[in-house]
Amino acid sequence: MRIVTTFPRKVREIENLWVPMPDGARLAARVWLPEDAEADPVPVILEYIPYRKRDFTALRDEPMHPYWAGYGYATVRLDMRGSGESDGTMVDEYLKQEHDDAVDAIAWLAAQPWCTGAVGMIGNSWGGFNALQVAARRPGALKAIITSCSTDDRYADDMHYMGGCLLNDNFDWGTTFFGWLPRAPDPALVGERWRAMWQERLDAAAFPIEDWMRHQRRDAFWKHGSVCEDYDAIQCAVFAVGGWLDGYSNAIPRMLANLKVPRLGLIGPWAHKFPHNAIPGPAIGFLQEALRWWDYWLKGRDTGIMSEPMYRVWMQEKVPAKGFYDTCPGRWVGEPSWPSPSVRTLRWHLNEGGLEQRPGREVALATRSPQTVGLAAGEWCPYGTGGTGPEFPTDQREDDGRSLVFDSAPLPARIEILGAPVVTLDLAIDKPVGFVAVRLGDVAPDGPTTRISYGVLNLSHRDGHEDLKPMVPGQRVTVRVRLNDIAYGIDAGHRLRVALSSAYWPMVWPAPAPVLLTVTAGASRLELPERLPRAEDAALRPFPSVELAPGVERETLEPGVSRRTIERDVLTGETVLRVQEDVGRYRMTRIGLEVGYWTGEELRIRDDDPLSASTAMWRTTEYARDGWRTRTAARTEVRATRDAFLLVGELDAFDGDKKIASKRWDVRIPRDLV
Amino acid sequence: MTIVGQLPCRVRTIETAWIPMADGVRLAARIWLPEDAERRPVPAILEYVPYRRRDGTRARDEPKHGYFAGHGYACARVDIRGSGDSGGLLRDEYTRQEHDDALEVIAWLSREPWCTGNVGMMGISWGGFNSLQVAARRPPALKAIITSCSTDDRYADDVHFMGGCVLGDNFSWAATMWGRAAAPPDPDVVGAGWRAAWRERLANLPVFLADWLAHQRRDDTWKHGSVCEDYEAIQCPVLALGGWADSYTNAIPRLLAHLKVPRQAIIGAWAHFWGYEGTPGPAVGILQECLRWWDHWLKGKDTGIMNEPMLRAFMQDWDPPRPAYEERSGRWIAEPAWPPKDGITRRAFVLNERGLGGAAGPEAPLILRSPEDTGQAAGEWCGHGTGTDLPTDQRIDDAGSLVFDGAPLTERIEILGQPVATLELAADRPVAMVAVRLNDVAPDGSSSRVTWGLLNLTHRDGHESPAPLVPGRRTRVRVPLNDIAQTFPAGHRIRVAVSTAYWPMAWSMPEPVTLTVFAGASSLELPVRAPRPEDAKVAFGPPEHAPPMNATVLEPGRAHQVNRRLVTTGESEVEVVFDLGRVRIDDIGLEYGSWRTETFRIRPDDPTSARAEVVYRFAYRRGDWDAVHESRTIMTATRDAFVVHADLDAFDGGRRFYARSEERRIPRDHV
Repeated sequence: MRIVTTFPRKVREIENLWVPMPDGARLAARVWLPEDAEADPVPVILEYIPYRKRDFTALRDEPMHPYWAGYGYATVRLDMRGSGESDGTMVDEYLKQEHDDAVDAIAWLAAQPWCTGAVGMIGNSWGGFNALQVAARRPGALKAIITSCSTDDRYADDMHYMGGCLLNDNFDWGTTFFGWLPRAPDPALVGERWRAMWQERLDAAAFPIEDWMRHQRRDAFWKHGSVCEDYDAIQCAVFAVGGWLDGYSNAIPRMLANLKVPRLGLIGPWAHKFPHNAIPGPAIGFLQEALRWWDYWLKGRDTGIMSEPMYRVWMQEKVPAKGFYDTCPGRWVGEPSWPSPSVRTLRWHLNEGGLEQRPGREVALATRSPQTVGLAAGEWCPYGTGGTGPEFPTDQREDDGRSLVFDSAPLPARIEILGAPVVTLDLAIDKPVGFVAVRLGDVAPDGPTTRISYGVLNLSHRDGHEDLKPMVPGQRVTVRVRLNDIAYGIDAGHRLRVALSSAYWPMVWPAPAPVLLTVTAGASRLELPERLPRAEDAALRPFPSVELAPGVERETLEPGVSRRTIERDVLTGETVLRVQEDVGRYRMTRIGLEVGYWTGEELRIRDDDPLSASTAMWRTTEYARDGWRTRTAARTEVRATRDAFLLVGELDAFDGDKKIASKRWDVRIPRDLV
Repeated sequence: MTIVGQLPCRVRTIETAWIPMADGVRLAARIWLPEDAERRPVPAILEYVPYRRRDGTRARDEPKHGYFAGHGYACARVDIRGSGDSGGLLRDEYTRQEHDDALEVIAWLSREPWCTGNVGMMGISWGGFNSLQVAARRPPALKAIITSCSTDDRYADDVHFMGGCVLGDNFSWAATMWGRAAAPPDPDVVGAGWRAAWRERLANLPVFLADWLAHQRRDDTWKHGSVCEDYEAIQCPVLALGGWADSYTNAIPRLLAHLKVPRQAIIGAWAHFWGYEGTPGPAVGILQECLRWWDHWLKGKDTGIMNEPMLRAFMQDWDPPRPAYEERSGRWIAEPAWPPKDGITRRAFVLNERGLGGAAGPEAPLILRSPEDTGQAAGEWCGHGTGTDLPTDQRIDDAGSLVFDGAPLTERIEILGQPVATLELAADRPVAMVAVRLNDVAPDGSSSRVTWGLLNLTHRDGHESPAPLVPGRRTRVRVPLNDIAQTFPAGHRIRVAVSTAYWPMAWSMPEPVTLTVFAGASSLELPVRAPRPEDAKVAFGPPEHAPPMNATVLEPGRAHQVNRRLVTTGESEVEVVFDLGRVRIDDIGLEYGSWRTETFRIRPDDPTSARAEVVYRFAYRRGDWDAVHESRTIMTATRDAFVVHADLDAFDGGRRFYARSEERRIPRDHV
C-alpha cells in the first residue's frame, strides 16, 4: 500500500458546501477539487449517503475522494436530507425524496463553474444502491456509476430477507439506522441552529424496522428502489463491484446478465468494503482502477478499461474454515461475457450414501434441527471489522454435525465453479411454515469444512416471493434452492458436502415451531456451475497495488473493544451470542470533534424452542467539543410468538446531562408465513 | 421418597467419639446407636472417609446411618487421619497408613461394650474403595462390606486415568482435595489447639495433582489399593452398588466375575449416588436392601437376600438426550450369575466407509483430525447431580468425529455388558488417543450417548509399558467401552463416533494428531441380551431413609455449566460453577459455606493451549470463630511437560493466616 501525497493537480477542499434543493432545503457536501478547477473544469464524482461526511465517513472519504480530485475531478461527499448537517428529516431508506434530491443535486453540481457538466456516482452499500436507483431516474448529467456491495433487488438480496426468510441483519442494521437517524449536526458548521435541527430530527424519529417488518413478502414496498424491476431504465455505464463474503454479490452477475448498457463486474474475496480497503486481502488498487473507469466515461479517454473482461472474479481456493483470515488464496479469472459459455452444469445426486453421479434408491431422511444450527454461519454481511471481530463462516462441522449431510467421495480432480449452485430437494415438513438452509461445503481430507456457498428458502415461498402458500404437513414437494453466486476451486482429494437444516440461527429468524425436515434422498440433486479453465486468465492485466490519499488524523481517547462470545448454558439449554463492537472515543484532530460510538447485541435461543428466540441490540453515539456534548442512544428488542413479532424500540437523546427526548415503540406485527 | 421417622430402635448419637491409634493419634468419629445398645449390643457399621463428618458429609450421613442405627446397628462415621477433627496428616488417597488405621478402628469398634463384635464396612466412592481395600487386609471382625461407586482398579477405572488418558477429573478432583483437605479442625471439638493443627495441615498438604501426575502409567502407585491385583485376598461377602451414570460401574461386573466370596450387585440408572437418592431415578429402597444384607451377614438372620440374583440391573430405554433426568425410562433385569452362562451373544458390526454394516465393505482409509474442543457434549466423567452431569445431544461432538451410522433398526436391540470397538488405524504422531462413542440416533436426528471409551494409543498393548506409535504405521487396537445396559429401539440407528480429542474429559495430546482409520477393517462388538423370565421378578421397596440433617439455608447454592466460545480469540471454554452456598448446621451451631468455579479452556487448533483452573473457597463460622480458606489450582501443559500451579490462602478472623504457592513441572510420559 502506498500513500500518495503528490498528484497531477493540486487539490483544495471545501469543508462544507451547501447544495440547494428546489424546496429551499440545503444539503451539506464536502468537496475536493483541483485548485484550478474554475479555470479548467472537471467532471464531478458524487457519493451520496446519510453517514455523516464530517465525522463517520471522513475516515474512509479522505483516503479516497482527494485521490480522484488530484487526478482532475471534483469529488463530492453529499449528506442526505436529515443527516449530518443537511436540513430536514429522514425516515427510511431509498425513498423517492432521496432520489429526487439526488437528481436535483446532480443538476446543480453539473452547472457549477468548476464542472464540465459530466457527473459520475459512486458508493458502497447505500451509496451503491442509490447510484443504481438514481441512474434509473436518468439525470441528464449522469454518465456512469460505480456501485459497490449493493443490490438490484431489495427483497431478494438485501439485509432484510433472504429466500423469504427473515434475516437477523434486518434488526442489526435496523438498530444501527434507528440510532443513526436522529443525531445532532455539528454547531461548528450550522451554528445555533444545531439544537433546533436536532430537535426536528428527534421529533420526526422513525422506527424503520417496523415498516420493514410490515412487508414480509415481496410487495410494492420492496419493488420500489429495486432496479431489477426495469433494468432498461438504466442508461448509463455501470461498474458493479463486490466481494464473495459480502451479502450483496448475487446482484453483480444478475446485473451483468440483464443490463443492456456498457458494464463491468468485479468480485474479490472481500467483505462489505471498497476493494482498496478490502478485508480479507488481496486488496487491489481500486482507486486507480476506478480512475480508468472515470477517465473513460467522464473524460472520454480510452484507458483500456472497456477492453477488460466483463466479469473479473477472484477464484477462491483453500479458503480457511476460520472466522477471520487476512488473505484468501486464489487467483483472478475473467469472463468476456456473462452468462458465460465456459460454465457448464455438473449434476450430483443427494443419495442415501452421499453425493453421487447417479440417483440412488429413494429413502426418506429426517432431521429436526436444534435451533442453534447456524452458529458456524458467520455474518450474513461481514463488515470487515478485522481480526478482532471474527465474522466469516467458521468450521462448518459444528453445524454439519446437526444437519442432514451428503458427502461425495474424495474428488479425483479439482473442480472450479463460477456461478450459483442450485439444490433441488424433494422434501416434506411436519408444519405449515418452515424453511430449509442449504450449505455447500468443501471438506478437507482431515475434516475441517469450509462453507463454499449457501442458500435459505422459506418453503411457503417455494413458488415465488409474492404469492405465498403454506406447506401441507407431510406432503412432499419439490423445491429449488439457489445458493449464492460464488467462484471456488475445490481441490482433488477434498469432498463436496451438501448439508441441510431446518434452522439457521442467528442469521435467520426461526420458524414458529420446531420443524422436522424429511428429504427424499435419491430424488434430490445438486447442480454445480463448473467453469472450464480459460487460457486467457493467465494474460489478465494485473491490478495495481493499493494507493490511497492520506487518512484522517485522530487521537484515541478510549480504545475500541471488539468481543464476541457464544455461551451455552448446559442446565437451561439456552445459547447466548454476545457481540460488543465499540469504536470507543476519538478526537478528530483537525476539526476538534470528539466522536464516541458503542454498540452491542445479545441474541438468545433454546435448542428446543424457536419461540425462545430474542434479540437485544443497542447503539450509542456521542459527539463533543469543548462544553458541547450530545448523545443518542438506541435500543431494540425482538421476540416472537407463534403468530406475531413483538418489536420494541427505544430512543433517548441527551444534550449534556439533560435528557431531551425519550421515545418508545412497542409493536406487534403478525407473522406472514415466516 | 419415604422418610422413616419411626424406626424400631430409638437412636442416640455421640457427636464426637475419639478412637485412639497405636501411635497416639486420635481419630474423630460420630456414632449413631440404639439407646439401649450397652445392654443389648449390636453389630457396628463403619464408614471411613476424609470428608469431615461434622459438616462435609453430615447431610448425607444422617439419612443413612440414622436408618441403620434405628434398625439395631451402631454406625460409626470416622474421619480419616488428617481430616475433620482427626489428628495427624492426610498424605494421599488410600495410603497404607489409612488402611492400618482402619484395622485399629475396626478392632476398637468390635471391642466397644455396645458392639456384638461383628463389624461391617460401607461407603460410597472413597469409602467404597477402602471398604474393598480394608476387606483385602482381612480384619477378623469385618464380616461383610457394601461398596458403592468404587473401583477394584485404581488405574483403569478411577478419577485419574481412563484408557491411559489423563482425565480432566484428575485435575478437578485434585483441585477439590487441595481445597477440602485444607479445612481447619473445629475449635469446639479440638479446643484451642485448632490453630496449630490447621497450620500443620496447611503446611503439609500434599500437592495431590503433582503427585498423581508423577505416575502416568499403571505402576505400583496405582496397583496399591487396587484389589484386582489379588481378588482372593478378599474373604468377606461383598455387595457392590453402582449406577450407569456413574463412572465406577465397570468394576462391578469385574468384581462379580472374579471374587470367590458370596457377592451381589445392584446397578441402577443413577450417577455417583446411593440408589435411594436416584439422580437420575428411578430411586429404589436401597437402604432396605442393605439392611437385608447386614441382617444376613452381621446378625445371621435369613432375610432371603442371598436368594436374589447375583446382578440386578436397570435396562435403560432410550430417552432424548438431556443434561439431567428426574427418572430414566427402562426396567429392572436379573442375571443369576455373572458372567452369565447364556443369554448374551456378541454381535459384530463393521465400520464401513458407508456406515455401520453387518458385512465388511471395501477397505477405505478415512482421515480425522478432531477440533481439540470435541467433547463438549460429554457431560461429567462422574456425575454429582449438578443438573449438567449427563451427556447432551452428541451431534455437537459427532461433528468433529468420524461417524459410522447403521441403517434404521428393524427391531429393538438390548445390550448388557461391555461393547468393544476394534480399530485399524495409523497416526502421524507418536502419541495419540481415540475416543469412541456408541450413540443412539433417533429418527429426528438427535444423538444420545449410550456408552463410550478412551484409549491412549501408546497403551495399546497394556497400561504398564506404553510404547510410542510409529507414525504412519498401521496398528490394530481394541477399545473397550464402559459397561452398560441399554435398549436401542426399532427405527433408531446405531452410531459409532471416533474422535482424536475428548476435551475436557481427556487432557489434550502433546501435538495435533491426524489419524487414519481404516474403514472396512474396523469393527464394533455389542453384547446383545435376550430378556430373561427372571427379569419380571426384580422388585424393590420404595426409597426409605432416616430424617435429614437440621440445617438453615443462609445463602442458596448455585450450579451451572456454561460452554462458551470466545469467538474473538477462537478459544472454547467450559465453566462449571458449583456453589453450596452457606448453611447453618443447627445441631452444632456451625455456619458452613463453599463456592467452587472450574474453568477449562482450549483453542481448537492447538492442544498445548489447554488450561484448567479451579478456585474453591470455604468458610466456617461460629461466634467469633471465622475461618476462611481459598485454594486455586491451575494446570497447563507444554509438549513435554504438565505444569501445575497450586495456591492456598487461609484467613483467620479476616486476617491472612497462611499462604502457600506451589509450582511443579512434570514430564509427560507418552500422554
